[in-house]
Amino acid sequence: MNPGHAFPHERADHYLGLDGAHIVATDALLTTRDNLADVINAKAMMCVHGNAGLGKTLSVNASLRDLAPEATLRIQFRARPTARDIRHVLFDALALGGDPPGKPIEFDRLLKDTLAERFRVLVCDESQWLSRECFEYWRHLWDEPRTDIAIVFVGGGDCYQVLRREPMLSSRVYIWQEFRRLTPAQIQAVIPAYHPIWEHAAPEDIAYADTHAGHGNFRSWAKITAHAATALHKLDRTTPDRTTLNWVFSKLAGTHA
Amino acid sequence: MPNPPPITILLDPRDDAEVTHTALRAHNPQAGRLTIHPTPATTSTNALADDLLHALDTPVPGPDNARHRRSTQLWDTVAAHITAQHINHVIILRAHLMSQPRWNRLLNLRQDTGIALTLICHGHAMPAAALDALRDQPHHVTTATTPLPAPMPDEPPAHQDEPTAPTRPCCPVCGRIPQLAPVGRPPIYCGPHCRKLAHRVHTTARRTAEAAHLVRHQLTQAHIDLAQAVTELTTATGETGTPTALHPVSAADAATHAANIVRHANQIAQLARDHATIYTEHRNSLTFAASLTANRPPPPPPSTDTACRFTDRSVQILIWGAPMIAGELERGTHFLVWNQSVSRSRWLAVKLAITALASAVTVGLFSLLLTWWAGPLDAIQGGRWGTREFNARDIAPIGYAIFAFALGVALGLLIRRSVPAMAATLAIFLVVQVLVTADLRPDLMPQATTAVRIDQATMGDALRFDRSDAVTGPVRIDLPAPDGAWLLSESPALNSAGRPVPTSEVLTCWSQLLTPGQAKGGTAAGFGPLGACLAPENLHVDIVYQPTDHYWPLQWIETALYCALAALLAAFCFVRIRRLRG
Repeated sequence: MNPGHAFPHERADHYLGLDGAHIVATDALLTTRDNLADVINAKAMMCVHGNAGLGKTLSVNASLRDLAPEATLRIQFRARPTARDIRHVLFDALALGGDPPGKPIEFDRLLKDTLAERFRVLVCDESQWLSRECFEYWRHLWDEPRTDIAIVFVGGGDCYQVLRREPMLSSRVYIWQEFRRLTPAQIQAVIPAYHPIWEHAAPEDIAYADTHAGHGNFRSWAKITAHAATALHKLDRTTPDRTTLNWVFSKLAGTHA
Repeated sequence: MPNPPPITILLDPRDDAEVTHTALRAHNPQAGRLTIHPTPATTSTNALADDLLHALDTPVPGPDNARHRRSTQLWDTVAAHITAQHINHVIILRAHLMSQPRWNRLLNLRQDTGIALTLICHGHAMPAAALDALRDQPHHVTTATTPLPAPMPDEPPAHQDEPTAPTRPCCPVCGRIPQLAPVGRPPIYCGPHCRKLAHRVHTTARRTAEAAHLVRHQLTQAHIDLAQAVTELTTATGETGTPTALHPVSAADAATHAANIVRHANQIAQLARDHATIYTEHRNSLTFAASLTANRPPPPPPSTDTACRFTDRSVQILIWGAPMIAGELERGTHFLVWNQSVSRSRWLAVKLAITALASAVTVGLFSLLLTWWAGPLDAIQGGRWGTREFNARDIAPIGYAIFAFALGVALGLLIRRSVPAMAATLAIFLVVQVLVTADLRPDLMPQATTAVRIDQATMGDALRFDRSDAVTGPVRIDLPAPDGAWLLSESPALNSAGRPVPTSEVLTCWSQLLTPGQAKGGTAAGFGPLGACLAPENLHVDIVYQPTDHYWPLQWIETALYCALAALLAAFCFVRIRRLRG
């Protein structure tokens, strides 16, 4: 499989490639895993949506790495792709040799033939960028009786609105899953397990960091953790306190807290 | 004309996956039903034709095959295959995304082939393009409900018979429809009659397959019957000891079987004969179809236009001469030249020599090129003696060029204005050429005269036989010129005394043979029979002509004549330029 479309190293799942970070079994991650198992079973379509930084891509990657490591093709587009882009990206992702066929009908036949060979899960990241035409293309591939695929759309921001607007997807998407930001209670449960520096941190400090910078968002927490880890390393300490955190916030906010 | 059933529009408001999947499952070309799942993200009509061809399991002409990629041809191909494969129902998915041109193409296809069209619009209402396209078309709209009313039936709906498309017959013995081995794509993309032809090819191919199937079946049946008869005969013989003492029932059975075998054998023989005929027909159709693509009709004779173009080019060159001196006189630049150390005569001599040479070479090259290129055409059209041919071939044009150039210079010196000089050159040149061609050329060499006797052989070649309305009038017979000669004139039919034969003397023969075909010389024999009838009269026609070996002498003489004229004009120019005042 083309390395560009297979799974990256596990470390790369994490924002900033944060050293020492663990994948933590949040509720959302566990739900994603269950949902994906169902979708793979039904060879259906699934839509994972939610704001940026909530761990959608990480959860889907982590789950599929366990569930269908060989069958997964991760596909990501530049902004505003066309059906032609999808064809070419799939051509690369499926590691088809030679020149891409010139005529759309031949190209589609080749892709369908290849996708009919064995079961595959196509993960279409950043799908809020997809136009109606692109969804129509995915649907075309999925509706084709020969092809043996499940499609997972992962998208941030207004992805849900975009996808809901397509009636064809409403009737074809088997599971819709929304990622929400972590509640303070979930933060208290999850963050100590996320990275060694938080393991012994005071719950008040964690709550303080979440209120001021984390906002229940994993990507923000990854930033806080990275800065805090640097600071702690310089100070030769192991656990952040308010002072460290304020220094970190100053980095994030651009002003002194 | 096919009479297709009304169009069905199926609305699928929820864009239900099950509707799409059911329609896709209904795809069954063997049963005459296609489901088209159009390639997404394109609205071109060619792409839809490709989708149809793909569904028909027919190779799609590639992008390098520009001739077959033309929209009309592509859709003709689709129609041909739909007709030949007996498709009678086409279901189109995602019809709500179809553009207006696609609608039009589909409706035309339906009209041409008589297919039943079902279009599935995955939405609440018909799109504007559909409403537009269907305004004058019989159609009905239904809405897909959940669950679907019923899956698409496996049997095709009522077959839309059209007179030229027989329903596929099944084997009379086993009831099975013989499968037609794929014959590849028919080698025909030939426009309007494409469909008829494709149909013919496919029908004959199918009939061949059916006949072969039937023969095989009958042979098997005959074998079984024969084996059974032999077994029974053996049994009967075994029981009674001798075949002559057969049990009456067994004997009757054996007789029946024997009769059956004979019948089968006869059927087989008949089928084999039919098969051979069909096979020949099939081969002929294929050869004919192949010839349509392989043997392009010969290109229309292009000689006239192209030759004219060449002549035009010569004329352009011919009037180079006029502005050469006239232009200098017009602009006054000759003052500058004449005040140099070079004399006027030398100046003129150089100008004349170089430009005359250039015109002669250019025209000569054009002429050679034209002669070479038109050689085969001249050979077909019979003759290089025609005015256009003689004047534009070989070396004569060089003489014209030099003459016209010298004429241009001389007139330029006289008129001293470029454009009027050019016009005058052209006019005078044309007059001279017409006079030389019409009056002088036939007499430049001694003409030959020959008397051709009127008999069956010579009259067989005659082009025209024309009697006068008055019985005393002459009889005109147009005979072809002797081989390769230039026919100048033909006398009327003359008797042995050398006097014109009055029409009254040929009327007997004429009326004997007067049939519409012969009167126009339209029969294969031409006027041969008339000649045979007239032979005893001992008539002849005097033909005056320039023999074929006079061609080159005439070319040389004419070229020399024009060159001499050009030399006279040049001499005039030298005299004139010395006297010319600034």
